[in-house]
Amino acid sequence: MPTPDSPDVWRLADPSAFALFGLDDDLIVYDRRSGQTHLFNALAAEAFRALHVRPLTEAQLCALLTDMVEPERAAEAASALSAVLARFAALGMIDPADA
Amino acid sequence: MKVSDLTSDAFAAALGSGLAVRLGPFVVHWRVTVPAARGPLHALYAHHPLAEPDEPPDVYVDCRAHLNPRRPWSRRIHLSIDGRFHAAQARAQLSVPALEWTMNWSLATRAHEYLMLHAAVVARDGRAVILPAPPGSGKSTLCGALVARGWRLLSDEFTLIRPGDGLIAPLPRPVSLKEGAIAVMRRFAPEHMFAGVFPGTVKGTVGYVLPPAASVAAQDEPARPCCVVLPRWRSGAAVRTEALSRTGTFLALNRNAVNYSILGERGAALLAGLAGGCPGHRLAYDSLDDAVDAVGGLAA
Repeated sequence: MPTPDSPDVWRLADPSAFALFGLDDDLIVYDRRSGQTHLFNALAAEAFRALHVRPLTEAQLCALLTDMVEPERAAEAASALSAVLARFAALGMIDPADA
Repeated sequence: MKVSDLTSDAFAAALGSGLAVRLGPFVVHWRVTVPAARGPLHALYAHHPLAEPDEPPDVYVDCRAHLNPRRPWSRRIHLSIDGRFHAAQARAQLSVPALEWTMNWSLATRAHEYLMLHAAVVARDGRAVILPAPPGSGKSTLCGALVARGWRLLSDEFTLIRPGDGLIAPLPRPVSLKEGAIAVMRRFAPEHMFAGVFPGTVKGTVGYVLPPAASVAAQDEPARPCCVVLPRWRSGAAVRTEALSRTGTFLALNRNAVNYSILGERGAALLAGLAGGCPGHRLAYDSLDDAVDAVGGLAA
């Protein structure tokens, strides 16, 4: 869930740094800066693809991803999204847009 | 001109002074003065063409007796790659396995114009089946069985993916079998020619099967990958196949990609393309006959 200390808007740290390869619902992301390859599940893939298009708030991302899950699992998906964004940030893949 | 066009004496003489042989896309220059290696090499590479004089070698492999004045009875051998010491082997009788492993190492550490998978690969009707697997899973045994049933051997060790078109460059070399697999293969295909069996290596007894002449003759003809099969031999197991997701196939290929990190983004793109275009399957088996039939069905 979005938390009070979440930045308002997330953006990709460097959109030109990533090569994306879709496999089924998953996404392979090659980071040209680190040489690392990341495998994202469907939810993380959708979030990353959305951020690849434009900066978004966590709430906006959450709204986009709600369509992917059953209504009763929306809270679980929102929680997973928070973890995914934290992981993206830890990997240096996203930044707060106002940073 | 092929290796078998040389008499054993002529081969031994040429080997002693330096002989360049074409192994798939590579030219390997051997200089081998260890007598125990000559006969097996002559037999195992009988079908391979000698390089033309204007073809520069990709790698120089030198194998000679290690002379120790204080231990003149010593039978140690000395292996070098491109003039630099690579390994010593305690017994001259094991010089052929040592040479094979040295060539594997030299190719694995320099053939970066290809995406290189630690995987056997065979083909039928131009469609290649990639068999990636860790040591001990029965990869080479299944590869040998498929070849004995008429599949074309592209390689039992390395699958070389060409970045430009995604096709597989053949590298047909002797099929290496270990320990119990040697007897299994002798029962499965008595006509298969073991051109060298070497007990007492660090990997136990190792045997080498002569690559078929037709596979070597076609070593310049690439093949298109059509599926990925992860073999696993299990005693008493009924043959069973299980489809992998594309992501599962990617991960299996990635685990066996020797030079993935060196190729960087190009490697990622090639593996993703391979996993996206070639269905992946697990194959558990006990009977080689059943496994050969199963691979035929998956590749159809």
